[in-house]
Amino acid sequence: MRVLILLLVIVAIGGWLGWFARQGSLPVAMPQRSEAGPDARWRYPEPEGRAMMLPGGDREMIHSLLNVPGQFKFGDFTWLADGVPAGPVWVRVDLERQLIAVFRAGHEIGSAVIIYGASNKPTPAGKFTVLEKAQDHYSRSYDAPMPFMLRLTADGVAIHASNVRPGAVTHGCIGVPLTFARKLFAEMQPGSRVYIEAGRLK
Amino acid sequence: MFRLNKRRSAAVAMALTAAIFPGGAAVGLTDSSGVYSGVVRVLRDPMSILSDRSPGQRSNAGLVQSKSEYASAPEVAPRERVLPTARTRGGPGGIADPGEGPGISSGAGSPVGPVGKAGAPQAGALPDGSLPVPVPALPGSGASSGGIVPGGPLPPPFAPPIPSAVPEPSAWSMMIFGIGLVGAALRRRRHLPQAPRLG
Repeated sequence: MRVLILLLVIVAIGGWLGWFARQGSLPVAMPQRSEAGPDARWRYPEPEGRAMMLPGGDREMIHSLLNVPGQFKFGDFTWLADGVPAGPVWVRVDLERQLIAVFRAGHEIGSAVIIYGASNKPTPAGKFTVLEKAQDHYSRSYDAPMPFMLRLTADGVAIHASNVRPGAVTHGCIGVPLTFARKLFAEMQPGSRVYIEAGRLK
Repeated sequence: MFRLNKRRSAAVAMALTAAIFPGGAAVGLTDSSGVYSGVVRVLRDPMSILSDRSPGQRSNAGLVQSKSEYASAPEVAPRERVLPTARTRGGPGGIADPGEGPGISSGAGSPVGPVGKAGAPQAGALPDGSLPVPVPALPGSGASSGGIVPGGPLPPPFAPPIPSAVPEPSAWSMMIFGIGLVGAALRRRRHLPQAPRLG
């Protein structure tokens, strides 16, 4: 009988660990949570932070992520660059999660929901750099304005402001909300890296 | 065994707590918007944080182009795929539609295969019902126009079988725990005075 009880406890603990395995990490020593208002951060242990694998074989060390309460809706964005030191700025676009995340010096400073290319005009995945940026660009090919454009490829893929709403698709560009596009435009310079991750949409 | 009753019930209570409490506490611990109070805190994976704030994957329903001019572009009519060999098949259970290769219709319909259909099996189906790479129709199955060209039609797209649902490990452990409880209860009943058997 005692053996049976012991077995049940082992199975229960195994199920508990399995629950955490599904979450992606086991319980370890604590992260600090800054009380900087509602947009607190998830901070990773200093000094090295947490590695994030990126397309093109790059690996960046993340020091903090923004703590977004709940789920984004289309049109939502968050931006918190207070207290973040100056440093290299790069962007990670996640097509599967429909998200864009901006990082500066390893800290996330902004995130938003995106719209991306249709299946017949897909957004390419990989590592890109900003070739040029234009605040009031007007696309001749598609006869439409592209405010706060950050050009990524020569054949027309760019990040620009768009009407981000459910069900909208683009012709390959990445559309972000207007206010977020304005802030992103100010941060990014020609040569800044943009990583586009397709995930399960490959 | 009766001497160990108190120890046994304490052990059962321990096992129940071990199973229930971590699950409940873990929900509170990983809640990003709550206040941390536990001793153990979870270091969250960046991808799980991003997945939490994500509105999910885009569905393929009801998509509209964001550029109005692109949306008004003329719709391209679908092109039909013309098979190199047009065939007709007669006879019971055969496909009367010309130009339809073996396995295409059943590939689109059911992934299991045409087993169990009344009458003659579909041309080209193996006895166990799996969909083979298309083979020519059975000879003499009907009025075929000059037999089957060995080249045959293009192979249909392979439809992968639908996987069966596998329970999660935590669901497994709960089930085993529940069955263990039932077993323990049955064992306990054996020691109680039994009702007289009906003769």
